[in-house]
Amino acid sequence: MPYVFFAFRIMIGLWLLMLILVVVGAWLRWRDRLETACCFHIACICSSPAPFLAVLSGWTTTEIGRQPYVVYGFLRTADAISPTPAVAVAWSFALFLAAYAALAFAFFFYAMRAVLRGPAEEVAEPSSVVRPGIASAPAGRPAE
Amino acid sequence: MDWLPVLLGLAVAFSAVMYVVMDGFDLGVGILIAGAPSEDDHATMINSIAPFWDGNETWLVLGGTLLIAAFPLAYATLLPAFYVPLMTMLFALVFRGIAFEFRFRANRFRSLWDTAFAGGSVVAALCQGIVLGAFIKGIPVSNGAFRGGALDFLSPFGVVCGLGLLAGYALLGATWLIFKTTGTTGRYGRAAARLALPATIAFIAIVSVWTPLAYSQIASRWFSWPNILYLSPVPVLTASVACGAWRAISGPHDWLPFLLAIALFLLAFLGLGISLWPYAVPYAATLWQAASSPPTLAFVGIGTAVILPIVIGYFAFAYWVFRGKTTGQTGYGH
Repeated sequence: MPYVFFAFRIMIGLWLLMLILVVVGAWLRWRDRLETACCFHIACICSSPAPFLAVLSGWTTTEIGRQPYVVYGFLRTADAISPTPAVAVAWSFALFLAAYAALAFAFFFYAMRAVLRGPAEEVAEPSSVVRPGIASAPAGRPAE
Repeated sequence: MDWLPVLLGLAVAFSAVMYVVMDGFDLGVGILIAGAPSEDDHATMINSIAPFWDGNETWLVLGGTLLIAAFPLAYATLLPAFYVPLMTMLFALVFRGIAFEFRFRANRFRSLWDTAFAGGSVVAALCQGIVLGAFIKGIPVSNGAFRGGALDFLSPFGVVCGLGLLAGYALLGATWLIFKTTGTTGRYGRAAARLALPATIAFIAIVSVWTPLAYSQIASRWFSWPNILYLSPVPVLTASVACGAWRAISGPHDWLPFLLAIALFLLAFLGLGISLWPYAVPYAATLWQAASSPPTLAFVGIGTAVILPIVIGYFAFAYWVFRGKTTGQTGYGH
């Protein structure tokens, strides 16, 4: 089936792409160039839909790939259908589409707003902060 | 192993009771939110259930999982029969849950999310009551499958049960507010409880009279000799708990009304269990007929015996961590 063929390869391809990003990121970090590598940042931004697409094509692979079975080799989809009336299922499917469209819209609205506002101003760290692992005198007492 | 289906039936019933009582009070707070005296009370009400509400819905998942594992016949007949109200309930819970998260990020649309929160709570409670009514009424089953229409769940009795559960959840929510909040919010809880308690008792009374009149087997279960002797403590206890709850609402102990409201729910549930015993699918399949094979039951039983104490343990821990009164000042815990 062409669906399974492409869905599987899209999933694997995206996996490879994301793995390359991870390796490159680790390498940049090691060379201490992570924060200045502009091309890498743009690649990261562009790759943000990749995990979603990979998950969707993975599901497509399993769900279409196992047809005509629900439990491969044991139970056929045609035999597994519940007596739930088709009208009721159609109604719930329509409701699913409407509800998730509305929620996706709300999500993008608030996500976009958060992105456009940018990160909060960083608070300057007070110099007298006791760092874990570094020996220092307790506050208010002179060092011995 | 005749007792295994009974044991697992009790586990399913336990999950259902835990769900109804625990999600009941947070749905109840959602039902009452539209009448909150001020925006501060509104925030206090939401903060009082914020640490608990999503955990409470664990019991819905546990009950459903136990049902499909231990009583596949019941699952396969009941869920198609209640497909429409259960899906409606799930959508209501989705919007309610999302409203929790988005409410704190919204400025202009806050009232929209508040409507989703209150509406979701009301619709979820109504749907659960309607499902309960349809469950008591029984569903058409032949050859181990549901043989009815998509709208068979609707009946006058179902609507009465829906309104009854709405009142009951409002009572749980109101007594929770008495228990967990102070000041104007606590006073609002007391005022709401004074309305919700008589309404709840009225609906319990209606269902208690309606079911034996409509179903002769329920009538003979309760009124035949010597059952009437053994079972008479249930209505007597229910009446005395109701009276005690009414006095406790104005009493000095803030925790007592909530405890008595839970007791009222437990007694109503016990009454229901007595009426419907030993059916897994009322009037169509008993617990033994609906149960899985003995090895499956043993497997599920061992799993339940391990999981249930863990779940109860972390629930107790969560409620202990967030003990005491809620104030309006603490933000949503993220």
